[in-house]
Amino acid sequence: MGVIERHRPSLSCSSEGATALILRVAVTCDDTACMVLRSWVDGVRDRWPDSVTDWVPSKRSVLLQYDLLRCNLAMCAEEILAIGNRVLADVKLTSGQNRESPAHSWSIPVCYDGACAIDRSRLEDVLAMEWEQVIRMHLSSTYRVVAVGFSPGFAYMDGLPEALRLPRKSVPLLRVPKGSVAIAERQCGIYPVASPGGWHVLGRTSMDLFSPNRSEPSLLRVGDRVKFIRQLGTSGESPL
Amino acid sequence: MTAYARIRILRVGPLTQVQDWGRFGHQVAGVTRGGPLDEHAWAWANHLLGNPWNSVAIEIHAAPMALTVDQDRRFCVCGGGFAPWVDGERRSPWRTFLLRGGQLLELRGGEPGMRCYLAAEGGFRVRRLLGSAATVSREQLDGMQEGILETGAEIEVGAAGSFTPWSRFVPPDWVPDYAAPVTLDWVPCSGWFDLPESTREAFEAARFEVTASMDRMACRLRGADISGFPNGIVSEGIQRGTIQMLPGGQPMIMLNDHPTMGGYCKIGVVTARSCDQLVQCRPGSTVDFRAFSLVKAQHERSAFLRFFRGGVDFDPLAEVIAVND
Repeated sequence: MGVIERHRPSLSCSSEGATALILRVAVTCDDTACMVLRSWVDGVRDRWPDSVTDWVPSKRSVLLQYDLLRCNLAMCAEEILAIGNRVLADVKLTSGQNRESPAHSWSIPVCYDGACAIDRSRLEDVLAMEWEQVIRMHLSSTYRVVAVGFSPGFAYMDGLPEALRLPRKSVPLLRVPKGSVAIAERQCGIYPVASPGGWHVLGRTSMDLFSPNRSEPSLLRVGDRVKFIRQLGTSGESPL
Repeated sequence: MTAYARIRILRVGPLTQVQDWGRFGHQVAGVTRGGPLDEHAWAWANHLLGNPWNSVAIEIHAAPMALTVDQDRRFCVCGGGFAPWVDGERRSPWRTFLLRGGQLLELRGGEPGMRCYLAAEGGFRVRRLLGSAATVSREQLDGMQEGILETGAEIEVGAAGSFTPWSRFVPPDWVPDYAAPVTLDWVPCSGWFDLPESTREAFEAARFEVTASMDRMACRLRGADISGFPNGIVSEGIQRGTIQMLPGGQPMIMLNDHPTMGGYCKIGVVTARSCDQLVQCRPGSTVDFRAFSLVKAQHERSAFLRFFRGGVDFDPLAEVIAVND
């Protein structure tokens, strides 16, 4: 315990403008940061359910927007930090044990064939790999959602194998079809709705990643794990 | 007059769209807030008509518009860029007017400012998506495109209150002068204090020009190059008003349809009232920045919300009476 106390990572809570706070956690481990931030925000939302109007998690921080007239959270920073420290203590205490993670694991079926793989020939060229090899490498990894943004439900996922890393396209595609699974730099992403995009599309999923009618419209949340599984044949498109 | 009325759009330019206050609670899923670019003008338009806070109004940006209504209804236009004309006769903006069934309402350009809001007594009844009628054209969600109005579109207008022959108007002292120079009040955040002192001094002394690169997502400003801003940060949540500094020292002020996250250096947040003024600036106008304390910014924001929204429990009638007294 003494060790934990001395090396307690620092949390901070500061204002960003009149109606937002930024909560930050300084730890080296992505997993811990994600877990702490997720539970911390949940704690703050439970404490002030009417006042917190929006929250945007990223790698080491959460931007929390609030309704100034319901509760001015800028004056509650001490209590917010206390909630964070309680969360941190919990995470530390249970680390290494079989704790229940709030994160989900998903298996997402992907069709890598035919028209689904829009950028197949470019990827084969640039990566100098056979298509089957590209697919095998892409399937081999477990990805972690590090952010949701850009467009509704678009999840940025870390964990792309080294050999598949390449820069974004210099000219974005005007309309990337819904469900497209794409890669760029160190990340993999799925386009939940048709939108412009500069990532290289290697397949398509029929899974609905964003649906306004669900209580949680976005399927993927920050911290979730994703494995892709190969779906032969179709996801609305027949292989050519 | 309890029945719904219906407007019919005879002519409309691109980007004319419906907006309520915005979509909240979904930024975690990457859905941005939307809502009126000029909250102040939008709020007055609904407020004068006695519409509840969060009523839907039409945001008009680029081109003139013409419409008719099938039964008598009061309307109001607040904001810049356009004024209402009824059957060829100009009416004042920032003032309610009666449009009789079958009369022609045109919004004609040539006024100072960039965009305005058309509100109808009873509010426009449009489909809500994720709890809001706000239109965010870039999100391309099913149903979202209905919020962009097209020629021939019809929109239902909610039931109106009891008839009174009097117009209501925004007291002249409250009507903004969109041609006047704009000072953007902003609250610095932690990214500002991490900058070298020379960079901060250069920014504080600088004046900027509003560029043509302004849309519902962001407004770019141009000024002398200022060095010392980091190339980028790990992407973080951003909001309406966030000032992101591009590496050369050019500020980008995020507006209502901002992506939920941004990776440029964040130095602070422009107040909501100053965002309202910024979006009415023509390209080429000059703006400067004035640092605000958090106290002042919160005071200004809560006064605005209390006035228009009426605190936590909103009572529109009590508010309108208070204004006229």
